[in-house]
Amino acid sequence: MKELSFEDSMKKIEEIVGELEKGDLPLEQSLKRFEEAVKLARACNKKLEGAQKKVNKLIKTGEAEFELEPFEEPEEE
Amino acid sequence: MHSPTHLPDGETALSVSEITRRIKELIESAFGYVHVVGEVSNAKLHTSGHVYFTLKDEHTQIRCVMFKSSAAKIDFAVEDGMKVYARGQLTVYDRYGTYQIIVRDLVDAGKGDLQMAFNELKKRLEKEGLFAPERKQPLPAFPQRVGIVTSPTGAAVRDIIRTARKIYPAVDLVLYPVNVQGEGAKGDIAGAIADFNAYGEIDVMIVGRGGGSIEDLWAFNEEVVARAIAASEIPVVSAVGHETDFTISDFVADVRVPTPTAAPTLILADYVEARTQLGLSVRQATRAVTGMIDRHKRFIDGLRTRYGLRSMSDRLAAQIKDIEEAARRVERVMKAVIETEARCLVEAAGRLERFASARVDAERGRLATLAGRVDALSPLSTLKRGYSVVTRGQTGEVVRTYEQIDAGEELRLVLSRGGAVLRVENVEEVNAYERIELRRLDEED
Repeated sequence: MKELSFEDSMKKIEEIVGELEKGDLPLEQSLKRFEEAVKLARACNKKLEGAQKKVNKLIKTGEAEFELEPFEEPEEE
Repeated sequence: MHSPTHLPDGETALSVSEITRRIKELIESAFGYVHVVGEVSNAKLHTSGHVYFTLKDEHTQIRCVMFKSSAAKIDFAVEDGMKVYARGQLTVYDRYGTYQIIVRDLVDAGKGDLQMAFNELKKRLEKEGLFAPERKQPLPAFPQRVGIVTSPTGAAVRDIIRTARKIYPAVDLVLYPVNVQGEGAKGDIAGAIADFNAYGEIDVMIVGRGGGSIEDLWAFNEEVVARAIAASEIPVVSAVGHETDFTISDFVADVRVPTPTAAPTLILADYVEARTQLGLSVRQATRAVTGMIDRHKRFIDGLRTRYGLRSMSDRLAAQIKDIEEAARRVERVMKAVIETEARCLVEAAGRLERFASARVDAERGRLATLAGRVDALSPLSTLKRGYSVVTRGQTGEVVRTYEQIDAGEELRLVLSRGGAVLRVENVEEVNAYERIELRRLDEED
């Protein structure tokens, strides 16, 4: 399964919280949905707290053709 | 110390400090920030780095000082005879009772044509509707890929990267390195904006540079850059110079931020919000699920209570076998439910992790207590409480009523530990008095 975007994850979590608070689902299914929400929340949290991504620079290689190349970040002063 | 002195004739004399304080207050609040044009004279560069000079016209003059930090920002030497625009604060120097302008920004009036060009372009583009609020595109929610059009070596790119990562480390930053000043800068910047649109795989872009003189920032006042920003289908955040610098780019862009650092702060604001929201959602979800488990447990508790009570009355009616059955039944029902719940809870405990482990521990404890109560209802416990089972010697059938028993017969008594063989001497129906006694016991139970 493709990873949900941050925004979609947030929406999904909200949706599940709504379902759980309504309390219509059987216990077992509720726990499954709960697990799903916690998993999504953990993935989001990992993005907020996790490792930094490398910065790329955009290189034009032709007419409307581009490549990404790692950017050497300037040293901190 | 500086309070007014009362003279014998009733007049009041102010101290020098007091009158100076009042003048200072009056002048500084009346003028504040001023913009003055004049000719430089007596220009002196002090060893401290501060620049002292006088601004004059045909009739009068005013003292000016430009402190080192401000002087460092101008890219020309302040020389006598030069016509300048000075912006700064009018202050009173109380030590000498003089007033002066503390100049923050100095512009060579010879270059005043830049300002005119700026005003002309601004008026023209505004008339064309390029600054209209309805042209502004909203910034995307939760952007993942952010484009940056700036110099690869300046402080701006470093500030943007650092700030963006602080807010959302997983952000994908794509830099389009350009010259932001000098010949070719305007073409570079306009081209980069167009190229980012052709590339397409970014959600929003930051276009800007760090602070500098009006000439340094000039590329962002060029028409070709303004048009590229206006044509961009990807939202553009203009981040040029300092708080006080306004460029044409700022007016055309979808959003203007005062400094490059402020750009990621604004663009990634949703992620700041998300931090709080995530914690809140998980707490809400946990509360909902534990509430659900609580409700199930109350339901089981209800079952236990009902079955438990019936067992009591059955017992008093001497229906030992029924008690056994009822107890077993309750036990069976409850154990099944408890096992299911305990399994769910164990799973849930794994799922909850640090969010709710304390809560689950408490739930497990309550389940254990519940299991203990089930044990209490088992036949063995009943025996331990002092009740016994009587069976007939030959058949082993449980004796429930006196009709089953014959005088002289041998019966077996089952106690919690061990038992006995009994011989029946006499069989009789329980009399009315004893019935009442039993009923009372029943109620007490």
